Amino acid sequence: MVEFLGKWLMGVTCAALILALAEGLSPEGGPKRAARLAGGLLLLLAVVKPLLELDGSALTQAMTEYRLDAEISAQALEGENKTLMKDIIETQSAAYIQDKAAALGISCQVRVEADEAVDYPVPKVVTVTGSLSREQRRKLTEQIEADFAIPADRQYYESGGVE
Amino acid sequence: MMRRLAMLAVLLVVLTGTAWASESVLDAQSEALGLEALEDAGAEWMPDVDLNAGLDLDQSIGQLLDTGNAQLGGVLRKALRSGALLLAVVLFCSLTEGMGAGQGPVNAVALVGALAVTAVAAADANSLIGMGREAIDHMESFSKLLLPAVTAAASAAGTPGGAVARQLATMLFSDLLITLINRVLLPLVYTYIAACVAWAAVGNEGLKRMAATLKWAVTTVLTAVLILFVTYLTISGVIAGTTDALTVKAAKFTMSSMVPVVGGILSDAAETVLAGAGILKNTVGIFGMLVVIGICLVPFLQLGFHYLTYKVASALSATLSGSRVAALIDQISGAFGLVLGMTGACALLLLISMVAAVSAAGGG
Repeated sequence: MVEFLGKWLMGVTCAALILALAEGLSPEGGPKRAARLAGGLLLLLAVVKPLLELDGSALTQAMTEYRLDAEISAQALEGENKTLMKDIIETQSAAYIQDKAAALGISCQVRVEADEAVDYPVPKVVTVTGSLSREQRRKLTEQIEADFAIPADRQYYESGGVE
Repeated sequence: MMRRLAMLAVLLVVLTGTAWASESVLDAQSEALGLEALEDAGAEWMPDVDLNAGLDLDQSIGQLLDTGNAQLGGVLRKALRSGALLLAVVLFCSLTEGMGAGQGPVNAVALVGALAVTAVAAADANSLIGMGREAIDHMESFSKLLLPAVTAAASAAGTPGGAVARQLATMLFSDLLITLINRVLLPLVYTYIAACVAWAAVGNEGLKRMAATLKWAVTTVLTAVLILFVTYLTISGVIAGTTDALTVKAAKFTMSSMVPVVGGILSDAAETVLAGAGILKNTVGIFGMLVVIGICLVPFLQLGFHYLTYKVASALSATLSGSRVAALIDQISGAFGLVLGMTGACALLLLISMVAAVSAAGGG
């Protein structure tokens, strides 16, 4: 497009220069009028001809290429952000469960794994490490089920096996 | 009471976790964005900047002012020297006119005066146009790193549609403008100078009109590109903003439909990540603006002072001599104005894009 515009402007400018020169050099009277007419036609040709060769699809193609580049740029942080969110969710969920366990009088270590396959990473698996009585384990399992919607079969107790 | 204390304890655990996370989030995002490459690219104009640690705006502006101050003396000396030479030429022309020369069929005084002014101005025009061109090249290569970084940060800050639209518009119009400048407008400026010199030497009114048309063409193309860019940016920004608002609404709805504790933690994590990206977007955007201003500073001073000096020289010349030489000096200052306009248009395009990115509110 720019190539076209450049050629077009240059063509018109050159035609105008030639016209000015021809007009300046020709003697007064008939020859000057003839030179003016010929120059006018030349100028008209320089203005109109390139417009007939205009290719409208070039701009659309360029826009598509720029959009693709921009979309690639926009996704540069997507993977990193998902990993960061997963880490934050796992850490905060584990801290929350540990705190709840402490309120139930349980001393344990909690590890949470979030599901990455979905749009937003949500807590999926909980591993509790510590010595818990049967009653304590039942209460904590219920609490986790209620707060995180993680069923008992995805809650692992390292000292007590699968609940 | 015990219940409240327990709630407070949970809140403290979550908040402490969030504060710790914010710092590590910012570090991880900076690394993923590759900000070091951007710092290196802008180091020539904004040295000793650590984008990770944040940007001291006052110090950065002070740095720019120091650079301007350091260059000011040299720039003024160069411009005044050219002004003095031009005045000397006009004075000489005026004296020769006074002695009765230039009365023949060919105005020898105007011819020699035009050639002498051209000889003085040619060196200035060459170095100033080269300087403007160099600044545009620097801006082009810097924008290739700056725009993707700002787009990535803005997209992560919750406005992906707006970020894509902004980069698309800026890249498209910036490339269009730079190609136009290199292939069309600068050759037109040279043609404009040639037409002005030819008019001053020969006195053909057609040449004068042609020079005026060329100047008008360059100004119109620059103005048209900037108007089109701002219009496109505004319209595409409004459309993309609506899409982004819908995306944020959908995300909020998804989170609110989850179990309250999971939804709360998820929303907290999303806010931390968005806030980190928002900080980065603003830091990178402002750094970009400062570097663009830094790139343009010296060429702007040079072009601006030469433009003013030529204008003043032209005004003084008009009182000394009635020949076309005084008008030629004014026309050549117009060429400097055009180059200043081209450099300014490229800078303005990037600055508008950065301002739009920095002022865009993230979704949250």
